[in-house]
Amino acid sequence: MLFLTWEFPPLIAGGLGMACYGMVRALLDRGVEVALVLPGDKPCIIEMKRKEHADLLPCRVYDEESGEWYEDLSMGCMEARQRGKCKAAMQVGFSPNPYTSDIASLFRFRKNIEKVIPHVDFDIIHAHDWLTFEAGLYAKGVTGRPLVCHVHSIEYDRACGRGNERIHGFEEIGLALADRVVTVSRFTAAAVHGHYGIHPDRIRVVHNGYFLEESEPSCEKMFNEPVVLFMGRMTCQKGPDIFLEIARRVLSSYPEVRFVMAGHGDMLHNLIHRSAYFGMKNRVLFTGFLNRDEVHRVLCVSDIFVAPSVSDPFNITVLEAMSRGLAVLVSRQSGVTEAVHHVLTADYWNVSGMSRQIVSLLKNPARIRQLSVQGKAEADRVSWDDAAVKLKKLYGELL
Amino acid sequence: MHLFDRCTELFDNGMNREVVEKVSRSCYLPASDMLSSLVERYGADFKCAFSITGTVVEQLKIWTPDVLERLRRLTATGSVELLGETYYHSLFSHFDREEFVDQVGQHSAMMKREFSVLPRVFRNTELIYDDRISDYLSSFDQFRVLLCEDTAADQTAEHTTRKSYNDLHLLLFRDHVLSDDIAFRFSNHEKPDHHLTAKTYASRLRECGEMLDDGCNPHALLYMDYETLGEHQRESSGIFTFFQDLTEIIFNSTQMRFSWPSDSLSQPREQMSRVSVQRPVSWADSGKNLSAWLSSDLQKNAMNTMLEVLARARRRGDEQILERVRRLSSSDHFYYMYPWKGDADAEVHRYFSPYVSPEEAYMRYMAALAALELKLS
Repeated sequence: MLFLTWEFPPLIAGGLGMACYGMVRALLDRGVEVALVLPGDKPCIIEMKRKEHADLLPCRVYDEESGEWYEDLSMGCMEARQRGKCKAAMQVGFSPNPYTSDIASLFRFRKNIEKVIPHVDFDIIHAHDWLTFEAGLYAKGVTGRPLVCHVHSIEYDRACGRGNERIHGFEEIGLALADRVVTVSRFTAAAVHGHYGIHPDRIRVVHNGYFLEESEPSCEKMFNEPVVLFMGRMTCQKGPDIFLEIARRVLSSYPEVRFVMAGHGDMLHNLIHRSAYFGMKNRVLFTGFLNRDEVHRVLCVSDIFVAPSVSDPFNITVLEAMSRGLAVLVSRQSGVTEAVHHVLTADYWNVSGMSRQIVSLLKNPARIRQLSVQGKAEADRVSWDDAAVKLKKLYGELL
Repeated sequence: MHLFDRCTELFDNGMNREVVEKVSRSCYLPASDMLSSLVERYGADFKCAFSITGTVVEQLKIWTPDVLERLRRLTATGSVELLGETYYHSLFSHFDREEFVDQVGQHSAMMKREFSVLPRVFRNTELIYDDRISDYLSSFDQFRVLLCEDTAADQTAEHTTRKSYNDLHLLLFRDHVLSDDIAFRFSNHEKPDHHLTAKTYASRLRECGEMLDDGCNPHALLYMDYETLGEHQRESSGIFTFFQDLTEIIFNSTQMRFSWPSDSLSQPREQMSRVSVQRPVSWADSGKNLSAWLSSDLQKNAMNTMLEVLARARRRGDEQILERVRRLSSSDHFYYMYPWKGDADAEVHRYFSPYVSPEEAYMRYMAALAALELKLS
């Protein structure tokens, strides 16, 4: 299977990379061999046959000058994955930015694919999000293999509004010409149907799973007071500004609580300034971008997870938080609410309602524990394997 | 530090070491050697003054003890006057009398311990001065002279010594034009051939003395970062030669000589007028006030949080934590949180900051305070 994606650990900017990682591992486990192609200055193919390959990333790189392919095994160092950096991956010019409107890189990716296609065998093409659709269509055109376009989010989600018209175009063409469209939720299936007129018969919903590293760092609580956590990209899609407003309201009636905002994004500086403007002292703490190790630590010291996304196709972090025993409040405009039930929900615009929900949770630790236990049990039943089974069945239909 | 990285150490000792070693190489070592050679050549008539914070002494001790040794030798020659200030280069004169007095006392004790000197002249952090500071320092008998920026004096009498509003201290005013001629404008990057020469500068000094030749001992207080010598102005700019040449010109002149701030104590006090400074004046930025540290939301919120944590540490009486909060009280932390866009001062803040942005500085600072709070709970 030819797997086209924009980001893959160790280099990740957001959730897409971790979703692809979990999916690829589960598919490998189910006996599907994966040829992964990432964007970069040099064309490269990562051929994976066993689960370990998702970490080792055995890579063949194309050298423009000699016109030859050479093996590079240094990309997937496990240690580098932990730190969120990988020098070798940098050298290939791999720069993940699927959340920006970098249309030029879409064409660079397509050029790489032109080099890659003659050197790789596959039966099916699986392309993830708009930046890879153009390359997927090219591969389909040249080889005649069926194309699956997987929608992790659409421009309307990311932009909190109409967004970039050209990106609409790429999304619309990719989805219209794909043999199957996979969405990560019914929420997004409806959006894809509504915005791009894709017939529901051509759409399959495959919920995401989540992945937690096996060797988990031991951890203990950091703060005496309860911790309410936001974790995600600081972009309007994820509603960090809504979170900050909730924090402000909760603190005014219930000061013995700490809010942590973890993640990076174009709204981060603005949010930092706003929290200072409100004089919230360090009851609101910002962490910046966290690597996987730090994600574990922050989940570990928190009690309540709030995800007030404005429009979120899925939101894997909710599953991660539940599996770590956090009580969760998530907006109804999030696909993950289709997959789990032991969470509190609210419409993202209902700031006063969410603030009241948090205060009543804080006043009722027994309720936090109840949500924690039930949520963990529920999250433990979710796995990437369910997604892999569905995807394998879908591939079967197309072959 | 970041809140959730594995590192439990609040202060980045690696970076502190790197900076101290770098500045020692470019400035502290060669500049101290140059001053020693001037003392050797001209004897006790060569005079200069140093203000050294407790923070830097601690760091020199660990990483470049040879610098500290050179400074000790230099002060032992009798050519150097040592000034008093707060141990941590903090802004407490504006917020907390008790803490301010504590830190000044700590600094004096350190000067006594390390250099066997009890300072008689006080300069507050970044020359911040207002009337309160003279009052606060009344509990220290040793301090007789205070330094401040010349914009604190009224325009007509910049270069003369004045008295504080309560008659307790003599006030000396930094000549900001003559000082910044060297500190900021020494090398002209647009016209590399137009470097300031010792000759030109000496004639400016002479002119300024003639202008004020009214029998009241005209002087110019030249006051700048030690790092001007070799760090802000690189050695290649000719800054060391400039100082050597200037010294020579001054010693060859009959009209000019070197003096210490405390030499002003020998002046008759009857003629001196009083100056009342009601709002804090500093030498920083174009505002010459507290805006370099306390104008943005980030700075204010960070300061309020630090004051809260300090108050808790004091109540708990935990010396170890108190020491760490005090290190976080250094004005530099707030200086780095000043916005990097929007005015001419921004570039200077950016030059001094080790962070990629004011927000990054803020995030790390707040995380450090949170970590200290945890230890207090």
